[in-house]
Amino acid sequence: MDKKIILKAQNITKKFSGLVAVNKMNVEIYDGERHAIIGPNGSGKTTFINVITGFYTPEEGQVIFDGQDITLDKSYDRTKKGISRTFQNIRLFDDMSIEENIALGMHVNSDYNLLETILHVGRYKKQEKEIFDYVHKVSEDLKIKDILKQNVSELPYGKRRIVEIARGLVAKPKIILLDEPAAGMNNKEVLELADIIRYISDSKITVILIEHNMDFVKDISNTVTVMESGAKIAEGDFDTVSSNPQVIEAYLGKGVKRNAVN
Amino acid sequence: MIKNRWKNIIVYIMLLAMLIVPLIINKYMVMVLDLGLLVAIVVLGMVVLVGFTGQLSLGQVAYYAIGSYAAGILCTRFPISPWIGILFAGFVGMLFGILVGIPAFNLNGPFLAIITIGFFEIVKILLINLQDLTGGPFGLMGIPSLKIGPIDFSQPLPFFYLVMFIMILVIVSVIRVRKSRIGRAMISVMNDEVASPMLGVNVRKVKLVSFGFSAFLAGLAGGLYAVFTGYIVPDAYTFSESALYLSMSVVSGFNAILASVVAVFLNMLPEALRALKEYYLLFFSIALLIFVMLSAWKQYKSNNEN
Repeated sequence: MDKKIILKAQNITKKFSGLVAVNKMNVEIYDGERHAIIGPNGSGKTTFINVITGFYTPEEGQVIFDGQDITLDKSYDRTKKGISRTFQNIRLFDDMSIEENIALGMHVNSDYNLLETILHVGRYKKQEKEIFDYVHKVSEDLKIKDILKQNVSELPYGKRRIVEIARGLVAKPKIILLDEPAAGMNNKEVLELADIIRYISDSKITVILIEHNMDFVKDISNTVTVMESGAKIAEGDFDTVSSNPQVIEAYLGKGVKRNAVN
Repeated sequence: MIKNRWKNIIVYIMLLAMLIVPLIINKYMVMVLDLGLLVAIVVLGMVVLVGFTGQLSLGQVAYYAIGSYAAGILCTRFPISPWIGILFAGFVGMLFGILVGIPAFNLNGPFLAIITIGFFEIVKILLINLQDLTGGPFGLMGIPSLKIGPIDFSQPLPFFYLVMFIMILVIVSVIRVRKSRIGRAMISVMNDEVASPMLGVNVRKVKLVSFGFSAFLAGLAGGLYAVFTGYIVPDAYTFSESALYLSMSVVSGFNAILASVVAVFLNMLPEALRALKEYYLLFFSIALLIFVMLSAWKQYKSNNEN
């Protein structure tokens, strides 16, 4: 079967005043897969994600999304083209209800202007209804419909992560990047999260996942890329990479047997 | 729900009271009330700019002045209806608002505030020195007033109802902006300029819209002021006005309805305190301080409830 490449990172290098955070990364993400990027702390995973979402411009290399070179695109244009993300440190806004926070994700799918807003004419009513209908649908699928009217500060940590995923999903992306979605979650929440990620996959959205919880990665991902010191050291399915001696060394130091990784 | 209904009833009662009050107080106080309503329009712009988008402006009076002079110059030089004059005032204000919004792309908080103060100073110096255009320190005289048939809006009472009507439209607009994709994007920019672009928000555009919108309102209010008084001088526009607009919007907690009430009330306060003669400013400051402390306490309480 010939699978389509949806996102391709070619030779990406990102430096911070001399420090090479990402070094000549080459990754191909196939349409519809659940692709995990793992690696020790400081190995450049988040920097790599930030290059893909346009927060950083790389010194070298290209990001090709859906056949288009988007290396120099602005972040919001990338979101419009179908790249959505969540953040390692949750970025939800306390000045809005949960519902509005999620609806913010629909910003790219609506285009009514200020005059239409003030006069409540034109595209305003139709689009605003579309926005909230879709927010409600996604919230129902993610089982967070009962908390929509609450404030962010009232939510437990795990739920906030789900709300962030919902906000990413309502943008109707082709690909969603989840930066440590299971961090700070208890076991029950992690299982729920796994269900949600499968649901995202079933909705034909490609998932890129940065994660430290290895059981979770093993459970959920089709492909795993391992990074160390800004470079890719292994790639393949979980069992292949976890038996790779270089990977074991990166995680545990020299002279440790492979069983320790699992 | 029931709580909301009571809230609505209170708003309607207040509105009704506002409509009746000018009929029973003297003409001078009606004029003070009129000016308070104009301030309220400016403060509503601040609610959007500072309260929604989080852009600190301490030069809002500059757009007010620009609006006044735009309407004044247009209507004294050309045989143009002052109705068009006030709209023109709004749009000229908006233009300059967008211009000042450009440095806001990369500046924040106090640094942006300094830019806006600087802009106000430039405007003021220009108003005094571009004598051919602005009449210099002597100002502009004989600005025609708004009229519909026999109604002359340079009289405090008709003007009150006109501005009240405009202010209610502005309140509705501000509330509508908040409950839209644009309002949500503004809140996003205020909370997190770094994350906003990755959520699909064009931060620069949102900033320009906020600056433009708030400056339009300030310009419009300035235009109304010019055609109401018929006489404008550069001295009428001072930095302390800007500071007052900011404190009014902060005190209201950036709630559109409350902001207009606070603006009108605080504008009346110096008149009510006139009996205290030279000490009135002292008491005015104390009143403002109490307001700020009350709203801070409210914030503290609501934070602790969660």
